[in-house]
Amino acid sequence: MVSNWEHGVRQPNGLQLEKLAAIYRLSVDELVQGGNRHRPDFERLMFRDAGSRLGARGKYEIQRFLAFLDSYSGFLAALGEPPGLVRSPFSVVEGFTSREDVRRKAAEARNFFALGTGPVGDPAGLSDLYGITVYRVPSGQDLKETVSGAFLPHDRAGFAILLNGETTPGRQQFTLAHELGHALFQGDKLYVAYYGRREAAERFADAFAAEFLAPTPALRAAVEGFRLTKVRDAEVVVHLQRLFRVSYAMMLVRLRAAGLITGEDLERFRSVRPTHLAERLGYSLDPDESMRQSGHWDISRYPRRFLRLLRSAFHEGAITLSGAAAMTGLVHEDIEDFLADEPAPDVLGDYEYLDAVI
Amino acid sequence: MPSSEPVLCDTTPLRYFALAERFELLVRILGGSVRTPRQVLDPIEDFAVSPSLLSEISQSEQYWSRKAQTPRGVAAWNRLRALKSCQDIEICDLQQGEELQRYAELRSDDLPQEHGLAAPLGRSKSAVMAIASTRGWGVVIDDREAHMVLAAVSPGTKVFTTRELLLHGAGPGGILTKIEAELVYADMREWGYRGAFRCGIADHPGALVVSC
Repeated sequence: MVSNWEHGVRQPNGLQLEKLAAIYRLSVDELVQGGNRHRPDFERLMFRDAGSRLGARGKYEIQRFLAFLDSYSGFLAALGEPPGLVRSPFSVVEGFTSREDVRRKAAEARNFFALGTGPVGDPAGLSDLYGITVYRVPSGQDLKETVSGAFLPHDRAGFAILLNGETTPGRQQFTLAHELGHALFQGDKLYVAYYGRREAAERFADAFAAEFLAPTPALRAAVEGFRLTKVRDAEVVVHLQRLFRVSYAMMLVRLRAAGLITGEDLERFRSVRPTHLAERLGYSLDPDESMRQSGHWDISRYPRRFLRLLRSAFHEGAITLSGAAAMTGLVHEDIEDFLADEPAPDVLGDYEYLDAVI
Repeated sequence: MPSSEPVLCDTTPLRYFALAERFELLVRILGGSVRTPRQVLDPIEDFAVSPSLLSEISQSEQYWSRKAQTPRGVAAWNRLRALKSCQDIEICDLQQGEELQRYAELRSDDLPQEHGLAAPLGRSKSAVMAIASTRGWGVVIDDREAHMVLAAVSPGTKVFTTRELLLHGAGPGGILTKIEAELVYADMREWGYRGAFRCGIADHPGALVVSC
């Protein structure tokens, strides 16, 4: 088929053009008319360090994320809405990334979000409130060939975080906090969390995420609340993990770093099945906790601010169902389920106006 | 038939006449054949592509297949699937040259801004508009934004809505009574049809104010 196109025997039809345009992340217009508008080449930047660590599915989802940010920025402009956060409120000065510095920065971030010292709760909601776009993708569970997350300072939409929604909730929480670390302190660059990356910026974001989600003083206070000096029982780890809404594995690391469990206990706790134990302790499990299955991803991938704007734009008549479907790439019926609160007019009526229109 | 020229249908009339199980009415109202572009309905579709690249009827099919544990879901799924083997549908492909060029223009990233839209036009609407405006055909499209763009880029193109087709079918010398038309319309609404924009948005510049 491609050979026929190359030799001018046949030319691609509209659908084939759409598929080619999707592959090359160009508009059909750019593909047919040639030329390419100038914009930052986020795709090249995001894929630059991928190597073999990104499969076709991960690539496709990143491309879709970038395409979404482009159309989202156009949508914001059309509605007269400002972009999200465009500058980091803090910065990391070289030489200030010790454990103590990270702890201090996590405290600064918590102050910024007015969080106090308790559990973070919903970092996606926080990000949304402070103008950081969080877009979820179903990009697979094998982190050796996909990404867990990325941070992108988009030139028109503002700060944006891509989050792999097919990992466990604890992992997602950690990834989101990690990307928030980039956004709050290193917002001048794009970062992609490929498997095994250990650059200084990634190490900082990891340390920040751990301290941000489960601050050492809060963790110590919680253990004290159990009237313990050391955690010797996996049940307590599960209670703490649930309290701080982090993964069991991360809670173990945090407890060990805070000197609240011994190395021997750490090894023992690692052999525990945490979801099974949590269920026995009476916690209700999120269906996603035993890894989200690749299934139907509809409106849930989109950032909350975008969804709020989409609903209000629809109800104010600024956008139609078809327009919303075209912008999101979602099925008409999914958009209808999300947007339409009112049915259509209830009678066909007015047969007399036929002459006027037909 | 509402127009002496051929009429090209967007997804909405196909979807809701089919869901209301009255697709034969659409065929009869349009004079024996329903023309639509492949972006709306592709009888030989490859389901291995990304869902966002499927024809719009196939996307609807997938939506209802996910709800196929209910009788309603199964019914909808079957009715939409049946369109692919319907002999009364004529699939129209974009022709090389002017049609493809116009399609590309309608799919351009700049189009929303040029026409004051908050969102781009979808593939099916762009294809319907590109083909119809080039060939001098009429169109059946319910979307307000598509009507606005069409009025600007091809003011001579005759535009109908799904609702107007039903009204036409129930008009003088029509093929169904007003009560039947109301019932079909009620069924469509039951399946999620929201009516054409002309009904309810009276302040739109091109709107025909009707009592609903």
